[in-house]
Amino acid sequence: MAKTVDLDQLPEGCIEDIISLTTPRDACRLCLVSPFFRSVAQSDAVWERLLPPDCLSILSRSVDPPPLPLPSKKDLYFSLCDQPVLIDQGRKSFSLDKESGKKCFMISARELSIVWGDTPMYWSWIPFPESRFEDVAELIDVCWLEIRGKIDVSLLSPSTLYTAILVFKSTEEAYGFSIQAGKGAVGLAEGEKLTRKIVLDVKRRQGQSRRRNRRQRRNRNLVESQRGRDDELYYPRVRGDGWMETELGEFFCDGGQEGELEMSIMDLSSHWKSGLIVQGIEIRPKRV
Amino acid sequence: MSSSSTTTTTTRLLMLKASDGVTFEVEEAVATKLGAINNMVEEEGSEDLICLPNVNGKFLGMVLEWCKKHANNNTNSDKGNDEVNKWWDKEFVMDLDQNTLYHLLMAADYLSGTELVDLLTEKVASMIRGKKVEEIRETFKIKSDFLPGQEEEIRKKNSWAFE
Repeated sequence: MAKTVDLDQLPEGCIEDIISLTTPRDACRLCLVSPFFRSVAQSDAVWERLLPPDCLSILSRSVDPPPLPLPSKKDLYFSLCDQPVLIDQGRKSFSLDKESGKKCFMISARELSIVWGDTPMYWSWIPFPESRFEDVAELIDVCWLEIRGKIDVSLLSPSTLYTAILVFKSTEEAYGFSIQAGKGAVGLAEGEKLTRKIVLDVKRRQGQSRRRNRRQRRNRNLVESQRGRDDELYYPRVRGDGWMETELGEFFCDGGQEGELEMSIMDLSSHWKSGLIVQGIEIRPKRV
Repeated sequence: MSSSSTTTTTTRLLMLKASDGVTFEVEEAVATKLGAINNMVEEEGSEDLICLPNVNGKFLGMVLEWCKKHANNNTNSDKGNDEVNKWWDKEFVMDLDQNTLYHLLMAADYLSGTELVDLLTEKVASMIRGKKVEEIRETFKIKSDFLPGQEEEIRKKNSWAFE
């Protein structure tokens, strides 16, 4: 009869295969199981497979050359989770979702198409230290608010539910956004786009209702009166980096789609709007 | 596939001999699902008896059983067969004890049965995913032999995983 075998007696290649099929979190936990598992669970062979397969090709589009000596694959993973890398002449950023290792991108305001964006009396472009990009777009005054962004779907991780998000702030003097909900839309360029009602007024967050002045209350009632039965409103949330975000819509990347994913924000109401500061549109896996 | 015109109607049989002397008579189409055997058949051609000194008869039998199912299910390739294979794979690994699982994995790895390796490694990975360190040690009967203080240091370095 064959002798009894334990997990750590398997060929190292098999153990690498096994750990690569777990998650980044599991691989980190395995480091504490025993010295043997630690040596495999932090190896480049394992983390190379926990990183997206096209990771290095995306990094080759980065603005700054990679630091030397090159970090271990595990260090690279965590650095990409915590510090987005600017790619495509600094007009997009690339990072990883720590939990899943799936790819995240932010399209800078410069890379978005903003209606009236080139007309200084409507929009201005300002350097902004808190932005990861060189500059941001500040809305001076428009009636017609329309922002569109797109990204090649082949860049996204397969079998992943993505959410597209407008990353913004608003100035102290912002106005025009509390009156009416705008429209967010996400979908393939060639396909149907799902739309939803979005709120860009940073003072209006979900569940915040008490202690408002009469005007805000009236506005809120106006917004809420537009709410249909299945017509949920999507409110801004504070991000970990201090910016605000409002979800524009979701997209399931099955890995087989082609073409570009389009995202848009529209508020074509007839009143004037001002004070929105746009960093960009982020596309990241949706936490479920 | 074969350049020989005589093998088109009759299926060639191979004899596989395990480390403990147990022999298996298998159709070539079944055995060549294993990369290592496929290579031997292509390189050595006429040899009908193949000795496998690294695989015990019990596990070789199980590996061949898996190959047979997959060879049969793949003869007419449509989507339904994918489902059948998946269902059958699930059954195959469901009740394996760890010792059998590892022996099969070593046999599949040695015989270059890539698909079977994928199936078995995924099974082991599913036993690790989402578990705490203590649970992993318990499941796999692993003794931690870190030096004193070392664990604390590793835990600090990987603190995110323990949040």
